[in-house]
Amino acid sequence: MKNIRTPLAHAKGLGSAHSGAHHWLLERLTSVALIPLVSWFAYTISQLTKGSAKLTTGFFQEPLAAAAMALFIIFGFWHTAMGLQVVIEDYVHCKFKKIFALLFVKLTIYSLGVASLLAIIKLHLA
Amino acid sequence: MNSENTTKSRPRPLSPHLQVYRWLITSTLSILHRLTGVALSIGLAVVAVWLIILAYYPEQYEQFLGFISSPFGKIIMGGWAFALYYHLFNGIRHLFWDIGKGFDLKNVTRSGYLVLLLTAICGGYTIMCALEIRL
Repeated sequence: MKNIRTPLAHAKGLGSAHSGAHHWLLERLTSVALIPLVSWFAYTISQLTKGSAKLTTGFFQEPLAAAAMALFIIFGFWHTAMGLQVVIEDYVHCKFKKIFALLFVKLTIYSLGVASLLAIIKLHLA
Repeated sequence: MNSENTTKSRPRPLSPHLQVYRWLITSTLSILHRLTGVALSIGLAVVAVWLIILAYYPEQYEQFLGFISSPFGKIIMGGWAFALYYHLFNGIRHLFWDIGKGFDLKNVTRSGYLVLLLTAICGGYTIMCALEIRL
């Protein structure tokens, strides 16, 4: 098929919305990062929830464990925020409700993400 | 102007009509990917609560563990385990499609059943470990 896009449009590589490719790509990149992280997390959480608060806090003293948990939280919440955004944009068509839902979801996710990271730092330094 | 009035008085047909489609493994797995994704979002919020309780309210930690090991908690955790495995395996299936592999009808159906099988095996193994069932 002959390419009907202008050379400039082709060079810029953007669609009619002028954005979205970045969002799509980031969703994939975070998902690739989550393959090892989520596997590690599934195993870790199954072991950690058997122990007491003291034992579990001790686990976070290990730099690698704290770092892996922090990475899991960062990529997990990032991926979740982007996934939920797509779901909302697909199903909520009233503009007011859509903006409200997006704001609510993103603010909740960022708050929980930051709180989790602070908790990991506190546990690591404890 | 005139056409706008017609549109208002006569609602336009809505699509898709879900009830006219025959059941397909591909469409079922597709919506399951979304559903498990949304379920896992809630699960991640509980992970955040777990970390916050552990770091800031350790005296409440026993209570939290008691809740997740109660019968209700176990059912929820089991559901999340299955959702996690499904979303992980089906996500890898999606990533293969994104690099242009396995996107023909035969392979899409095959990989779909493979995802279900892997989810059942890993989910079943997790449940067995959690309930300390040994074969």
